[in-house]
Amino acid sequence: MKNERYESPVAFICAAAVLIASLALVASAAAGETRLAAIALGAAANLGFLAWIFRRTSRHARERAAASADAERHRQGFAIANSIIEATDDAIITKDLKGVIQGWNRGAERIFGYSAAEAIGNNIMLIVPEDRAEEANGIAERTLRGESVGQYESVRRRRSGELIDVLVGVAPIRDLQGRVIGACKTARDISQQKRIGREMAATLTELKDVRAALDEHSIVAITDAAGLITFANDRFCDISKYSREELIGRDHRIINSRYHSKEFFRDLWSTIGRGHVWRGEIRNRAKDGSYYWVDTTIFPRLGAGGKPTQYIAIRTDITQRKANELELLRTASELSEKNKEMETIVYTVSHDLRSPLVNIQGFGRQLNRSCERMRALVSGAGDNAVREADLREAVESTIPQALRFINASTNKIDLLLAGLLRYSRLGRVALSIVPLEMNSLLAEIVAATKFQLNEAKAEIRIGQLPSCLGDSVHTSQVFANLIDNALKYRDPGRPLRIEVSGWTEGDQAVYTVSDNGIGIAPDHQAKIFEIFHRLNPDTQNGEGLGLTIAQRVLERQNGKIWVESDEGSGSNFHISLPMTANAMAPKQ
Amino acid sequence: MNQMPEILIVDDDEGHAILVRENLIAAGLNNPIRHFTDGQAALDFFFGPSAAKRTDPGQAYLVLLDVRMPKVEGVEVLRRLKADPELRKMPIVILTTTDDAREVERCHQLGCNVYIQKPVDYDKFAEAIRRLGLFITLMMLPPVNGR
Repeated sequence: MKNERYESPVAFICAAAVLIASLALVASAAAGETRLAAIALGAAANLGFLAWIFRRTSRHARERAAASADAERHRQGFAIANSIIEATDDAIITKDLKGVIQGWNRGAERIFGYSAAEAIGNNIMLIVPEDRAEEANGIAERTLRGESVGQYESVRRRRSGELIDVLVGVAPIRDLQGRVIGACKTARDISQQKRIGREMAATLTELKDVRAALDEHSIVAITDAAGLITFANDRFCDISKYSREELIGRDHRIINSRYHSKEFFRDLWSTIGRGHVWRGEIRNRAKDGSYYWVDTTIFPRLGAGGKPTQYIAIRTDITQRKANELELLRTASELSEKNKEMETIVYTVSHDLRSPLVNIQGFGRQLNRSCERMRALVSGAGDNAVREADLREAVESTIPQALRFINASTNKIDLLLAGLLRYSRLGRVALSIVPLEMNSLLAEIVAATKFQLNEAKAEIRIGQLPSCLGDSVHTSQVFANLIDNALKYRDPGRPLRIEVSGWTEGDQAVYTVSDNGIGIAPDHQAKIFEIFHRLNPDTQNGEGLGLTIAQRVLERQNGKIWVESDEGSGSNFHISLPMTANAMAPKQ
Repeated sequence: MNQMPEILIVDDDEGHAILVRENLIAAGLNNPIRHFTDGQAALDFFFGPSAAKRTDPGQAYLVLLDVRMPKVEGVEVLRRLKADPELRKMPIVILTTTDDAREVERCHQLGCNVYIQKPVDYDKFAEAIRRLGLFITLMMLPPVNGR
C-alpha cells in the first residue's frame, strides 16, 4: 500500500465515512439544506465510529478480518477511497475527544502547511488562532454533545502564521453505544473567494462613489441602442427642466434647440453607432424654452457583437462659458473699433499740431530776417545798403503779421492740447449712474439756454420722455450740446424748431433731438463725431470736440449716439441709453 | 494759351498759404497765385454757379491742395477734380503736413500727380517749396476749357 496512514479496512471505513460526510456536507450546504447536511454527517460519522472502534479493538479481530475475503475487498475499496480522500482539495481532519489530531489528509497539508506527520498527535488548537479559540471550543463542546455543526466561515492559522479564511464543518464520531468518541472536521480554503468578495465589495463601493461624484459634477443620461432615455440624473432634470418621468422613454429630440444642422447630429450618430466616442458642444432647449450649452461626451457601451447596446452621455453645463465667449468676441470687436478710433485721433492730432508748428517756424524765420535787416541799419549798414522802405515794410507789415501768426498758432496748439486733455480725462472721471428723470433734465437745459433760444426766436418742444440710467452731469452735457448745435447750425431762412422726443426699445431708452437747420451732407455725417472736426470754423466757434465728447460719454454709459440728416432740411440726433441695470451689465 | 498757368493754393491755414506763396516767389515763380481757404471754395470755383465766369478758356492751372480742411476735405476735392473729364488734366500737388502712408496711397489712387509733405522744420519747408517752384517753372501745362 502506498499510503500507510490508513493501513486497515477499519481505518478505511473511518476515512470513507469522513469523506462521505464531508461531500454530503458540502453538497447539502451548497443546496442550503442544513438539516440534510446534519443527517448525512451523522450517518457518516456513525460509519466512522465503527471504523474507529475496529481500529481500537483487539489485534485478533483485525487479523481475522484481514484473513477473510471480505477484508480483501475492503482493502481494495479502502485503497480507492484513500485515493479520493487524498485527491480532494478540502482538509479532512479527525480528532479524539481531547482534540488531539488523529487523521490529516493531503488537503489539510496543503491548506494548513503542516505535514501529516507534523500534525497528527497535536491538539487541534495548532491551527486555531487565539481569537478563534473560544469559538472552536464552543464547537467542540457542541460536537461532544453529539451535535453536528454545519458549515460556518472561520479563520485558521497556517504553519507560516498566515491566517486563512475557511469554511468549516464538524461532526461527532460515536462508538457502537452511541457515545461520542471524537470529531471529524472538514475545512475548505475559501480565502480566494473571500478576497474576491472583498474586492468586489470594494469595487462596488468605489463605483458608487464615482457615480456619486459624476452625478455631482455632470449631467448624465443613459439611452438604449435606439437612443431612448433609460436613465437621467438629477442634474439632467434640473437643467432641462423636465421631470425624470418626462425624460425616460423619450429620445434627445425633446431638448433639441434646432440650433445645429441635421449633418451635425448625423455625424454624432454615425460616430457613436460605430462604437466610437463622440465629443462636442451642443445647444439644448429646456422645457421652458430657455437655451443651455453643454460640453458633451457620448460613450457607447458595446455588446457581444461589438454593437452598441447603450449610450452614456456625460455633459457639462457651459452656458456661461459660451456667453463669455460671445462677450469676448464683442469686446474684441469693440476694442478693434476703439483702436481705429485711437488711430484716427493720433492721425488727426499729429496733423493738427503740425500745422501751427509750420507757421511758428516759418514766421519765426521772417522775424529773424527782419531783425537782421534792422540790425544792419542800426550798425550803419555796410556795403549792403538797407532801404528805408524795407524797414517800413518790416515794422508795419511783416513783423506784426509774423507775430499774429505765431500767436494764433500757439493759441491753436494750446486749444488742441486742452481739448485733448479734456477728452482723455473723460475716461477717468468716475460716473455716477442713477435713474434719470429725463423730462426734468431737459427742462433744466431749456431754462439755461432760454436766452439763446429767445434770441434765435427758436421754438422748442419736449415730448414725454422715458427715464433711463445714466450720469446726470454727463448726460445733461450731451443734450445741452445737441441743442447748442441746433442753434449754431440753424437755417437763417426759417425760424428754428427743435423737438425732443423719446421712446423705449427693449431695455433701451431712445431719444431724438431733431431740428430744421441746415442739415449735414452725407459725406460729413460720419465725420462729425471725429475729434477736432469742425464743419464751419469760419462762422462758428468751438474746438471740434462737442460730439466727440458726447459719443465718448455715452459709450461709457453703455449708450450710443448716431445721426440722420437731410442736407438743407434738418438733422435728427438719436441717443440710446440703458433703462435697466441688466442692460448696463455687459460692460464693466 | 500764352497766359501763364495760374497756381491755386487750397489750404485752410492762411499762414501756410502765405509761406508757400513767399517761397514760390523766392524760387523765381511769377505766375498768378490764388488762395482758397477750404475745399468748398475750390469746388465752387470749378463747379459752382459762378464757375462759368471764372475760367478764360484755354487757361492752365496747377493746384496745390491741402488734405485736412473744414467743409470739404482735400481728398474729396481731388476725387471730384480727377473725376471730371476736362479738369483731370490739371496737375494736382497734394501739399499737407501728414505723411501717413495710407493717405499717400489714397491720394495716388485717386490720381494726384505729386504728394509732398510740408516739413515742420522751416529750412526744409522753404527748400521743399523752392524746389517745387523750380519744378513748376519747368512744367508744360495743358489748358482746361470752361463749361
